Amino acid sequence: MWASRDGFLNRQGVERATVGATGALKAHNLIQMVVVLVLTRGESRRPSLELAAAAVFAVSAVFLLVAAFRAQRLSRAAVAVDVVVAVSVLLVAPFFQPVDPSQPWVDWPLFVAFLVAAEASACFTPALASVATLALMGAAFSWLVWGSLPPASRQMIYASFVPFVAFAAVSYLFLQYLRRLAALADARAETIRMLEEERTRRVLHTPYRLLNDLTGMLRAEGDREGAQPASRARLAEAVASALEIESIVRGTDPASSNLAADLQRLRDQFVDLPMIMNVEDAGMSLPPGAVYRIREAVRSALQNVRLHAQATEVVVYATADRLSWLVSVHDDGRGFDTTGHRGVGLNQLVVGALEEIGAQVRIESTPGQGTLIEISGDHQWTMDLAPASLS
Amino acid sequence: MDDGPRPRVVVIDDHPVIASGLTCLAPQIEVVASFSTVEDFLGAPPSPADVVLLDLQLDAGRRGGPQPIMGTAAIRCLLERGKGPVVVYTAIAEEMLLAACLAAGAMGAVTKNAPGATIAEVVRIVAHGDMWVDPAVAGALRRYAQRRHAGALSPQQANALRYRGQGLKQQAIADKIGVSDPEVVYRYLQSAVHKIADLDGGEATEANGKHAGAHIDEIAQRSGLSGGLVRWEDLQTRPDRPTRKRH
Repeated sequence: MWASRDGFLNRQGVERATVGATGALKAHNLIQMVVVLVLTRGESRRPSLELAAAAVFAVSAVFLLVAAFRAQRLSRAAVAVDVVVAVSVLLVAPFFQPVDPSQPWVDWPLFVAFLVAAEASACFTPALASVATLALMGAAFSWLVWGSLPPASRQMIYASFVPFVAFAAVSYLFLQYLRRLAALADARAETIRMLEEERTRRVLHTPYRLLNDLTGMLRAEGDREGAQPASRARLAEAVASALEIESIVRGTDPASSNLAADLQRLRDQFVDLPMIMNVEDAGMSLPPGAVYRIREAVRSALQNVRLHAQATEVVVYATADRLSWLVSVHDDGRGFDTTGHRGVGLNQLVVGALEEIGAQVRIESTPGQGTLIEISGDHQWTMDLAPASLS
Repeated sequence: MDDGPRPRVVVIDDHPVIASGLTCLAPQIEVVASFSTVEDFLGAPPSPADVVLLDLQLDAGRRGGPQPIMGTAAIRCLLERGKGPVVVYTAIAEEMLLAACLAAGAMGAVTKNAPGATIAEVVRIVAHGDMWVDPAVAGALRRYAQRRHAGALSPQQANALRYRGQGLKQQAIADKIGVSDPEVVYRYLQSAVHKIADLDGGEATEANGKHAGAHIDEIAQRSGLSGGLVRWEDLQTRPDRPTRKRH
């Protein structure tokens, strides 16, 4: 839920992750504590004191977690309370140890304190975190002054110094690293946002003026008497490109699932072509991703017709039924030799995009006899064509 | 394409400027006479013409007086008096309306925004005795046949309509459907048009108004055009129709 709302990939995300990890480890500690309490029931010298110590520690843990989840970060005050409680529990622990001197001491006050040291290093300054860790280690060390401490428990105290330091140091270093990384990501994101704002501002304003001027000049040039057909075609293509860029700037319509409607809309961009739009309206519902690729392929084909074909008739044909669909672009223009010149009919990238979704592309052309481009397929798509895939 | 004499054309259009404009637009054809109505043409001394170019709507700007003969009735009227072949030359780009004209006996239909070369080609083909089917009309007919008469067309007829709908020309279609004589393509197209008209006529009656012509006329009226451009009986009485039905 957090990830989808605000994400973990920023500074706030690191704090949230820390809260999550602390919650999990704290729960683990409390469960372990309860298990030990149950297993050693009846052995304690002062069972009520042990239970009271455990209860206070549990309450402190709950308080810390509630505060952390609310603030979405570890609360220094709650951690300070937790440190004081953990030190206190360690100090009173010798009073509720087993009656039998040969039995090892219960160790739950010790292992729950490791996490408290880590909490301190996660939210305190290094100096304060060190003080807290030393306080916890000192409270644990106090067990050694008790003459009744069995040898096994004595060794456990010495051995606990390593996890105390390790928990504190590793937590500090790891979180410092994550926080710096997140800060860097935040800074980069901010830079990108500012650059994007600037780009949007420039994209929205500057090209409008330029495109308007350019389109007007190109149109005037195209309407000039005596212009050559080839040059007129290039000017028409330039005008269409200018209009296309303008539509991109404005925000293009994503493809719909209605292929017929999308193809009909192309007509506006090719008013200079003698075009017949022979498109069936009914039954042309395809996934938007497929419609997008087909429409762009037809657009590419028509651009090539405009630039190269010098056609007197161009027919865009589309039909579909439950089993298959077919879209074609035919022109009666100059044609070309298809051996080794596939790109003249349709851009290779466009062909690749169509083949990627399982469509077949066929280009037939003979010099002097026009060109036929057929795009066809069944409704078995070879990739996920949800609308999102368009972006 | 320009081999031989230019085809001679009579133009029937209520806008006289069309005839003079055609001379400039399509110099490959010769406009020998022009008339505003079918009645004027039939009442005038015969003009030696290879093709009659007929506007579909002939009542523009007319106030009062009898309605001139128009639409499929005009096609039938001309054909029954031996004035043909007829090519419909119209501003109405309604594919099924043009298809109805072909079903009524016209040998071609071309819209007024077609380039001069296309008009000349249509006239040449029709003067040669073949039917010219516009790609848009072919596409519309194929879709119509699939919806209402699925499987009725022979594979060759259906493919000829499909390839014509895609914009292919005679030779290319012949190559595609595997016939050596390109002229056969025109015959397939013509027989496809007539078969669809016959099937429609066979399952409809004038009374129930289910003939495609009735729908087409509704479309024409909704578009602000004249009513009665397509008459049911004109589609039933094509000269070469094998079984004529009159109700």
